[in-house]
Amino acid sequence: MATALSSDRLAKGLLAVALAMLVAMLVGGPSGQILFSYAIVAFFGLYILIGVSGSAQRHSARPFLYTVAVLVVILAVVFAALWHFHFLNPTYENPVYWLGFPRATAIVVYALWMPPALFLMFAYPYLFDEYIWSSDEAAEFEEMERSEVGPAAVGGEE
Amino acid sequence: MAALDPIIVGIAVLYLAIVLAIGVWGFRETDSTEDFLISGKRFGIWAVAFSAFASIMSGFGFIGGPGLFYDGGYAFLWIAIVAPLAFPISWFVLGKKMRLLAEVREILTIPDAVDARYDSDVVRFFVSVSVLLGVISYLAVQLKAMGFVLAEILGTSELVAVLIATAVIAVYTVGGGMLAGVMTDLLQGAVMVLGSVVVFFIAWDYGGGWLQMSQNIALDDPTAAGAFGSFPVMLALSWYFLFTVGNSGQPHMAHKLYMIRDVKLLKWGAPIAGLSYFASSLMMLGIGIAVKAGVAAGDIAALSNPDMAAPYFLTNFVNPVVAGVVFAAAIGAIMSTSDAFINIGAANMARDIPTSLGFEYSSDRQELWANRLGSATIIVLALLLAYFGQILVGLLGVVGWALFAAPLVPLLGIGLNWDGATREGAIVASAVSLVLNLGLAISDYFFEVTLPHGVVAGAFSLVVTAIVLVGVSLLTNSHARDAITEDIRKVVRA
Repeated sequence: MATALSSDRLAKGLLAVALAMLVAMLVGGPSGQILFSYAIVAFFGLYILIGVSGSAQRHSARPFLYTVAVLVVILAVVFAALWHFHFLNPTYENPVYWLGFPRATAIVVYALWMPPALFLMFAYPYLFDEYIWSSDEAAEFEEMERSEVGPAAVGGEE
Repeated sequence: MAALDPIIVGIAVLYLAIVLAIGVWGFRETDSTEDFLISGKRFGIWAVAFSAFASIMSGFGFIGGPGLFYDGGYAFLWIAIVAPLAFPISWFVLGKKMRLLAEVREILTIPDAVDARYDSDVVRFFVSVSVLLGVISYLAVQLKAMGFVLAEILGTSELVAVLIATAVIAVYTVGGGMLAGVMTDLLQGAVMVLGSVVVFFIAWDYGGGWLQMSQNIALDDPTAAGAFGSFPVMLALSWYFLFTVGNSGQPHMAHKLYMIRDVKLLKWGAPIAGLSYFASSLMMLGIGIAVKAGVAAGDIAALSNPDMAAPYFLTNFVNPVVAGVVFAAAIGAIMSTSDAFINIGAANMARDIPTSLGFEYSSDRQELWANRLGSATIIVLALLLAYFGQILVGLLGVVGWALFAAPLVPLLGIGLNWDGATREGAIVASAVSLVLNLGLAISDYFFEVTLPHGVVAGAFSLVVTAIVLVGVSLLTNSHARDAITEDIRKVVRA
């Protein structure tokens, strides 16, 4: 049985996360900053999931859930490390350097920049043929385009 | 002001001549409004992905980026690092949806997409106004940046330089529309990637490696080398959120997704756009840090203007041939963003706003020429604004990117994937985003009243608009699914 991704539930999730972000923005300070960073991670995850909810309905939610889970874990661990090293030495006086940067900065440069991006940018083509744009869906849209008449549905390929 | 090395000038002039030639070719190939606005859906993934990344990497990245590193230390990392993640997020959320919309309807602009989804002229109007304000203010900044760079190269006044640059942009956008825009973006993107990577290594070598540069940066202000630089932590986090999620709400990125020849070609777009942006952003990182470290160590005199960081480094520490290529890349970055904005602004003036007010063209030929006229009008307006309307440019610059992101991320990013989003939700959300963006900009610019803890106004308005869209939709969605036409429902559920 395929796991379902309900766009209604995802929208409500996005609403809850956005409210948490608003609270974090207004609270500020270390607690607000940490809450905001994790709310960002949750927003990314839910935003991607709502984006693929149609594909998940048609095929399977599992590959998308795994993809988002991996992304969220990467970002959560990276932010945990960032906050740990940042609050160990928030003034950056006499910092410990890693690979040319103070430790917290090194986390941003080497862990936050490309690892999550590389994972997600190659997950898209990996999932594309089987789960995002399958041949049967392409055939359905071609059929729909052929059968469309009337002013509300013109356009398409020239 | 003296002109630079003749080799640099020669490369820049050659580059402008090639761009002009592409414009002439584009003019000959453009026969319809669809050709003009979305290039007739004829491009493959390299052209679309390169064009998407090239239009996002603007003069702000190539000139303002090193300047911001110079100003706030590593704080600017929080903008510089986002695009490689932002592109795949945009592809997952909107890639297929935008292209399918163009398949089932006559969709040529972003407000067209909003109208198709919500079937509301009111939503279309609010979004069109937001986009138009964003386009004019961004374009004015791009033209100023272009004047700044070209004046450095040619040794002319900024006004003369910007007039030359504007003439070139005008020829290829007014004549060749998006067809010429995408082809020049392809060239400009390639030049940006090449120039950026080479200069990154030169800057890294000049600075003596990361450790040396980080230690130098920390001499005056240790926090400048910290993870959030010298800026408030919440400001850096707000940037990270706004520029990552907001990527999918940028019309100059999102409307490129209409142009791809076939949906299946979307497959490799995210890595191509993300990795190209990564490569092209290396230069701003390298130069920004190298110059800041050089000044802190006393090797370079302090700059009068942070935006001089890139031109200063290129003219003093880089071989003229490489510097010429990078200056061409900077011109390319500005032009590629400008042409996208001109095209979008023209469509706003000639198509979106008239349509939302009930006007219809009698023929496609008439609409094509209205778009050409719109392009010329947008260019003139932006030029006037750049030199005589500083207040408006500064005012809109406070919310800049959010004029697009705040309405479009919720309305399209969420609304094209959730059939529970209602017309009522979209009307209130689009109105709130416009009022909030302008209100926050006015309170900041005129009264110096800002949000607490360094929160960025645009990130705040994006979050509030998302809350409003989902909240109002949940309250009004008992018939939401019945209100969507069959073809649009199919796209939303695809």
